[in-house]
Amino acid sequence: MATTDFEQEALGLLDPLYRFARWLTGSEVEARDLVQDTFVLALRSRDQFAPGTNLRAWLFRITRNRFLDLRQRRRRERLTGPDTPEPGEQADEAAAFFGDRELGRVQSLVRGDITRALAALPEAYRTAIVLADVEGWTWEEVAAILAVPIGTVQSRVFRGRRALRTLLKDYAPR
Amino acid sequence: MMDDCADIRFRLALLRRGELDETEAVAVRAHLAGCPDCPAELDAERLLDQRLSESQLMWSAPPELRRAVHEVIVREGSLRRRGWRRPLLRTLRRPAVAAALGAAAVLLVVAATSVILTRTRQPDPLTIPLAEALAGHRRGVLETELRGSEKADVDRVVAEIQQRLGVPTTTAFRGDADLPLVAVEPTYALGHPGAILVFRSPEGRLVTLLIVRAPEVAIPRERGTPVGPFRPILRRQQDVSTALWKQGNAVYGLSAPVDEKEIARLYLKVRQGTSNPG
Repeated sequence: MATTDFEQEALGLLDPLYRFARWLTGSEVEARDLVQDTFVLALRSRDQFAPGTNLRAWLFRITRNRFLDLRQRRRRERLTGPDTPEPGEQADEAAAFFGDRELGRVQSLVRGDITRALAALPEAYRTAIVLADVEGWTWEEVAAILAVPIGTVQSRVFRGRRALRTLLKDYAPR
Repeated sequence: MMDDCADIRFRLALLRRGELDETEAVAVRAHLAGCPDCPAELDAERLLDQRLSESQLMWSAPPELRRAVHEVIVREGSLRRRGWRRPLLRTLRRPAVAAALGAAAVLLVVAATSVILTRTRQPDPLTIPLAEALAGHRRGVLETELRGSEKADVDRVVAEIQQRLGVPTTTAFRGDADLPLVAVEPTYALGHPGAILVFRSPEGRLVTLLIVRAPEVAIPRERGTPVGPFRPILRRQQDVSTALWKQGNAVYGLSAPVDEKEIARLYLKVRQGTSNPG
């Protein structure tokens, strides 16, 4: 891929990359930093990108991996426990994500707001829903970014959506 | 709940996305017709879809991020070009290589040429305007499809953008019977306020016109393609073709999911309907 084609196509993805970063970080400032980091990393490792393959999936994978690296680094620096425990694949209800007592607290924070409800989900579930249901990606593309089988993506979307509905259910639709 | 409700509910996601084959879709619909619980489940999932799609509209990259990313591209491009010289210089420093070649003069000429070429190579001035035109097209299409617009409202917004942001929207092509103007959005591109005008072709395709008053941005006419009496830049990016040109102090990018021949035809219509901004 020629230099300008690569840069043009990457720049054309700035809005979806920023939205994705906002969903991941929950913060405008962190999202901006994350997208800039993504462009730096992508431009420095552009030789690893195979022309003709999916640039969008490649950039989103860089964004997510960078986010997970930074989060891991922050956890180590804090020397405290994990901020949100990642649920096992058996979890299938919001209570399983948060625990029965925690669920009530999270629900009161969410108060029917879809953005806050999504932000409250564990990252792997939030990412699967954002990519598959908000951004409208194919299962194959989401699976490529998360580096998991398609069935796992579908399962995360299914379970994540049930948790979302539980979080929102005591409030009016909008 | 019926025995197979759990399985059906997993398949509702595929049904909503239109990904079930016909046989499976018929089976799921038959279940929905006879089940007292699952239709409510489908309604709840559709409501969640609606709320998720509305949540998507909130965020687009802020102008300062756009500027920062442009700077990253320029800086990384410059570092990359400098990085290319290192292997050559290292090679030249090896005595064995120098002796074996015995043609230092030739290498010096090659190295000097490479340094000169590297130093004189500038970022392509069309990269960012073309990327902005493509990003504007994607945003215009997304917002028009999700929000829609009323014609009366469009005329008001066109005038308001000109008046409040100084973007020359009222002197631009405002649509005709074949290519009516269906929506307009304010935007921010190339470091300036701008506008995205959205037209609908007779085939139902959305055609976008990005307009930005950007006096410092040059669109080199000599790199353009002759279309009638004009020379726009015509470029295919992904599935979208763009015609890029400058009139007065404003940059215009016309984009549509068509081939270059069709974008040239659309360009001629829009260009002839756009008078120079004041």
